[in-house]
Amino acid sequence: MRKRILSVPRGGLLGSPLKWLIANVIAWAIGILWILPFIGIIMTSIRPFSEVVAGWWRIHPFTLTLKNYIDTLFNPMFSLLRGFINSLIIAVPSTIIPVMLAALGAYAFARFSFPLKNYLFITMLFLMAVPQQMTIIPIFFMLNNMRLLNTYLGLILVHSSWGIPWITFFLRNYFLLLPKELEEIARVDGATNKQIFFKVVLPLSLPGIVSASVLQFAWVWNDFFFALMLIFDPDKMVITQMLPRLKGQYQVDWGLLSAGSVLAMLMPLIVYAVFNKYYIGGFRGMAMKR
Amino acid sequence: MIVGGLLIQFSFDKDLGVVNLFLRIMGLNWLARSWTIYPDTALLSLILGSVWLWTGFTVTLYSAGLASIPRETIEAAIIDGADFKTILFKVIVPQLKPVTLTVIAMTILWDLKIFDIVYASTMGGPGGASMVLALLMYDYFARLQDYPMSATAATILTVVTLPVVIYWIRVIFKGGE
Repeated sequence: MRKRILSVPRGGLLGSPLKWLIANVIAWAIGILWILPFIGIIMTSIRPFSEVVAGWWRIHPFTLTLKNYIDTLFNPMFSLLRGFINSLIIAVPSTIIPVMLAALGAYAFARFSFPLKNYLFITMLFLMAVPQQMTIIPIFFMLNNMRLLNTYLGLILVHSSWGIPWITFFLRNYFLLLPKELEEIARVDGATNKQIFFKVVLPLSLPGIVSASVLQFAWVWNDFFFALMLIFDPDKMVITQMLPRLKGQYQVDWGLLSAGSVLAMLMPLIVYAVFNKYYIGGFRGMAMKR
Repeated sequence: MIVGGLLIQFSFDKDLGVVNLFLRIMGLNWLARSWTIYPDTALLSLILGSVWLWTGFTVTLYSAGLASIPRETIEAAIIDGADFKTILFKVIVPQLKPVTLTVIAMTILWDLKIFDIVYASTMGGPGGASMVLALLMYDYFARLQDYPMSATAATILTVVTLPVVIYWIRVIFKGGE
């Protein structure tokens, strides 16, 4: 009897099964409505445009074709294949460099005390929230003077430095949640700070580091503003930059554009899927904690 | 997010858009048009589109927050004979306060700095009807090459976001105490 009282009644908190059914129907309806634009863009991308001009939901003549994808990937004006490769060239180093640097800084913020620590930390929080627009004018002229405008290296450096504050904050929160005892044991055994960091802390915080890397990769991949301002050469443009250019002058070619959009969404989705099992516990770093 | 902007334009398209399909089904034929190309609906389509885009992020954070609520608190309320409404507003919502604060701060900040979505779907048009600060800054910089005006627009944008940023930092600092 006691157990029956304690367990949540059948139908959850809502009580009767009827209410449970209504709640589920509403939830599913909202979910399906939410996902409809994605379904629409996929449907448009895999069918000839003549079939979807009156709405992609008309499925009577349904011809499966990859023509839109081939046309966008090998577009003579804006080859999306080139954009895809450029995005990878930019995104991979722009993920590895800031995660490595931020991990060192985050450990210092989590475990050591040093002068001005709190002020530096607040400065970093402000830097996390500064709009990209605020920084771009000095960055533009600085890169121009360094002859790094319109180069991969320039954009990689900008993305790396842009990523450091939030990754430091994220990993610091993660390090704070690690048990201190292991590090203390290592210290008693005579390990140096360097050894403790690389042999104890880093292996323990792999989920946090993977989550930060995945988020940073997706952020750089989806970023548009920095690329728009700093890369002009069509051969060096990243995928997000090419998409609006596929629109055409007067009539929007949704066949090309839908295929391009799906391709641009694909990479972050693959990365999320591949690393899914590593970062289940990693989002503890998101928790707000001083 | 560029893709988000394209998806918004796509969904509000006269023939292809899901939104207009539903408007026609509901008999609102006079509203069924390409929302992004008319001055009176361009901004509204961006607002509704942003709501749609941000729902995913918000749901993810809230489901993580809901999963971290201890079940015992809810069970204790049931034993005490609380009804669904009481449990929802007196037990669940208060425990979600940190998530709510994060979600509100982040969505406000992001939507003040909105750029990609506007660039991809309306370009601030037609006739500046859906112009936003970030895009104005870009226009001054790239199209007119008026760098002082561009810097001014960027500074105004930063000042507008500042109260939210300060509030957010204070929440983070209070969170651990």
